[in-house]
Amino acid sequence: MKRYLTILALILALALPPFLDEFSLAVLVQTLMWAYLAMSWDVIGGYGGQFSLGHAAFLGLGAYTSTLLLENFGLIPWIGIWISGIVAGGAGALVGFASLRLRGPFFALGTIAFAELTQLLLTYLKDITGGPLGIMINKVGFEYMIFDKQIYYYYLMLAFTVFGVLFLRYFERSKFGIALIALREDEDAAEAVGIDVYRAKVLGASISAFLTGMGGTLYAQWIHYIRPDTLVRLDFSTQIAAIDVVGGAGSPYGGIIGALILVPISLYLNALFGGMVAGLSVLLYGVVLLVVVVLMPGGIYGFLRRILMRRERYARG
Amino acid sequence: MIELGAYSQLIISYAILGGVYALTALGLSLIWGVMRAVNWAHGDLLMLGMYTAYWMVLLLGIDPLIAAIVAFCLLGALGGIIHLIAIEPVIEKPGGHEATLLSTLGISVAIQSIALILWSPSPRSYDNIYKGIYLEFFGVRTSLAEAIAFSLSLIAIFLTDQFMKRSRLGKAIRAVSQNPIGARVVGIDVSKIRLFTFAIGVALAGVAGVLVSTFYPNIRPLAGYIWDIASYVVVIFAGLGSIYGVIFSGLIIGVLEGIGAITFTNAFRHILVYSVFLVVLLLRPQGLFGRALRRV
Repeated sequence: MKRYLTILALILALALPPFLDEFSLAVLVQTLMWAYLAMSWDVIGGYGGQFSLGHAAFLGLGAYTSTLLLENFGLIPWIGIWISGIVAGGAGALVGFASLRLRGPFFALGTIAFAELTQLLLTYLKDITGGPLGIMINKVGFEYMIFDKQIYYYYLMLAFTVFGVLFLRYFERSKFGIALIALREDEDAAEAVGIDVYRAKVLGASISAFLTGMGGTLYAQWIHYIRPDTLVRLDFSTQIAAIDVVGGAGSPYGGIIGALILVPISLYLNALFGGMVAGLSVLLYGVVLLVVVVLMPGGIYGFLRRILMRRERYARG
Repeated sequence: MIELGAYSQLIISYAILGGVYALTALGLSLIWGVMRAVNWAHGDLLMLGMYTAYWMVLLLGIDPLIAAIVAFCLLGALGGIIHLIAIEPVIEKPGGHEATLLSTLGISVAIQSIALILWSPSPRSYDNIYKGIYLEFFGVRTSLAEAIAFSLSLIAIFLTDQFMKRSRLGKAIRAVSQNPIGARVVGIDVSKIRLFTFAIGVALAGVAGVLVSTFYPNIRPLAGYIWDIASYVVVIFAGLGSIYGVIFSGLIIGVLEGIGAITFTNAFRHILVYSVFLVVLLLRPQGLFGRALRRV
């Protein structure tokens, strides 16, 4: 039944857009983007249990890398996105290295400091990055990954989201994924049975950052304007993590579930109340996160799964 | 080129800020030490302390130092409520310590956005008599407000230390922080101690907020987060269980920020703190003054 549901959801996702207006499509584009980012975070944050609050740094590094390559060397983002991934992945390896020494909240703090430093450096290196004013991308065209209609962005983001789910499904069954999960459950025991903790943490953080860096390019091409303080900011890092935790960290579907629940509501709230009640959509994130963490460990996905399993057990008798 | 006097002037005022960092960090350190819980909303509660002072001075016209007592009680009560909502239900479950990181993150986001809705993002400040009076020691001028904030922070830290060492409750708190199971065996109500510790930690943040608000012209809903980071940095520098280490680390962080403000610009004054912070975290995770950390 699960397979039919997945196929149905995919057909719906592919067939829906022509019937929607630009605003709804923009909402869906952002939903998919956050879902993809949350899934990227999941690799190290969910499966690896290393609670990063600095993923906005990878997003920013990715966005800046491909944009600077495009502006200075005319390199199209279709190629630049890979270099973005590599740059962010390199930074991710540094963070992974830090996680060897830092556990739990100390790791989270270290990643916050890392993201702050990234933001400050992007601002301070004015000659390369354009400093606090940021960079405007004034190009349109398929080759620049910049489209005049939201529907193209929608399919692009959908492709990345589907890729994210498939990747996580493969990842959680791979030897490397299992090593990372074992390490989350008990680091010392994992090390005792011969798992290379060093490799798992550094590579895990690097993969997560690589995927997030690619998301940075997507974000830059969609928003057309990047600035250190609107890109590398704590609430982005928090939102990425919150979406995944609410949906269900450490599962391939957590990112999508979390994004579907949180992103559209917060965007519609923003559109309804505009600048008047700036904090309202953010309040939603806080309250939902709190409720899910306290009442549903394992997120909404874990909660649904427990209910389904219980029902199955009843059915079997 | 700024003359040397101006440099020392700047560094002194940042060192004073460091004294308040120490007070904020003390609350965090207590909460972490007793229940291995992370209070991600600490800076936001400090921000609420700032607003408490602002509204009390503006609406009731009372002295900000009396507002500090009110803030202590109000935020202590709020801290108790937050503890019952976000900490107590998860702390004893497996993975509970990590869960407190997430649940207090939710609280932090919620407090920030409620403050944004109620009070708008624009920064505020209020006038008080302490701001206008200047003292001069050895050629360095500080406002009376800063001097009061600094000395009251130190006094509050001293009082907390004495409370921990001498009172029955303080001894129980220390017992729980050293060995929760042992404490339960000898008849200490551990969950009550946790509640009380969390309330005190938050109340101290509230007092710190009031003290800062007397000279810091930047009372705004998102002011908390920079304090969060600064006070966590202080806690990590100090290491756990080191009350006087907190004072020294607070001063060090303050001075580092001052040096950062001089070498870079004001907006970049944190570069130095973050860099030193990362280096210390990586090379000496037990802090500069602390014992080695137990496994979390």
